[in-house]
Amino acid sequence: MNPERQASSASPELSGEFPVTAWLEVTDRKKVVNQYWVALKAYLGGLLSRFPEYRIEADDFLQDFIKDKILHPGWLEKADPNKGRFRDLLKSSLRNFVTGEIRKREAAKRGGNNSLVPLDELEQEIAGPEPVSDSFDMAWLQMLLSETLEKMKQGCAISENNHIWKIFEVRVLRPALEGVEAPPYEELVAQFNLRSPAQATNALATGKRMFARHLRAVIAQYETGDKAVRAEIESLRLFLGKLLPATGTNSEFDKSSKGL
Amino acid sequence: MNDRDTTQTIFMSGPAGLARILDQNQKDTALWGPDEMRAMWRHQLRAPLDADLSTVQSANLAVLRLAPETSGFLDKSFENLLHNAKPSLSLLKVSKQFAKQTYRDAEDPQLKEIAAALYYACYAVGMVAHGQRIGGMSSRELAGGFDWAVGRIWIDEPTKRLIAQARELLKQSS
Repeated sequence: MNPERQASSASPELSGEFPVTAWLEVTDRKKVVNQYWVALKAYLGGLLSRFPEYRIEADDFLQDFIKDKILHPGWLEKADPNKGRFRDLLKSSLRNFVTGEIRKREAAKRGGNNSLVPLDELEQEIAGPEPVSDSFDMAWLQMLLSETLEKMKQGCAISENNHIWKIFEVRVLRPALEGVEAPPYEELVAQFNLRSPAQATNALATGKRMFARHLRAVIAQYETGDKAVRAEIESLRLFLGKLLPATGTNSEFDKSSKGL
Repeated sequence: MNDRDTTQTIFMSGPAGLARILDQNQKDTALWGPDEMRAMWRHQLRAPLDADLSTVQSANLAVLRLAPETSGFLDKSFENLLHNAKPSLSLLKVSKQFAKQTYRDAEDPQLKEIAAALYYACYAVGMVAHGQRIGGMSSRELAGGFDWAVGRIWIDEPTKRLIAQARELLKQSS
């Protein structure tokens, strides 16, 4: 499906500190296309669900969009971080592109008295409330997290900290993604030969920190600066929150050991 | 453990799973469940002294290793030290130092609690076994700490008894 995705995710390993900006990578058009076409395709599928007669042309639309927009010289320069989220730019551009394409085709048909969609309704219909946008954001988030985890895994392997990846995987990832029971503390300690609570906690906390660092680094490929990266994470969190029923969490720590 | 690639499982996950992963970016998510405190404490008691104490910046383990008072303890566990009839005072002090350092450095609130419990346990053993306070804590602070530790359901009974004994000594001395 996407043979170059593996290669694109093998960007240089980011060390310790969060990079100031990796915005220049966005101008690597091939990389953008490689990384985000699945989300674009999902979004396009949603857009065209309102126009069943055009669904069959989805691949052509996407191919044309990539050729005429993404690969078109100058188009990516529109991706000015000050003008909003890159993700939103891709969405709105594809939506506008599809609107234009359908309008052109409908006009041609109308010329032949054969219109399937009333032209005056077209704009309103495609630009209306946009639940299909969720499919794009979901696909985007999945790719983002997949790339983040892949980089974390590679980072652990390179630094010979495979146990950190494994601990994070069995304790956090599998329970979250596969719904399996998280192995209890004792089991983890025995499995990874962890000698003390400090060691066990450090290993898991390091995994969490690595995940957070890689997540920020991956987002920094298309959003510039710490603030924008944080805003993107928050936006993705809100997006997921919107899809989930509200839940409340609380943690208690009786801090009566003040003199310590 | 199965060998499925979790980096790819992401694509089969719904919003709830993805949200849980994304939440790992937040610093304040707990690492361990509240019900795992007992296991953590047990693990702390059984942890080899030299592994943890080697992380104490001010401790000179090489010197401690040679001291007759400490020989025979370093390759043992915290449990062996705390529940020994004649525990090494130097090692109790270094253990207390380790607990304090862990309490201060740890980001994880549960590890902080474990460290606090160990800290007060060391103090208590110093008082019960040697009749000495092994640090400069005031009676009021110590009493508050001992009461806190005795109230933790995850601390084992023998250690709680030691702490309760020390609390009693504190009461008598005041």
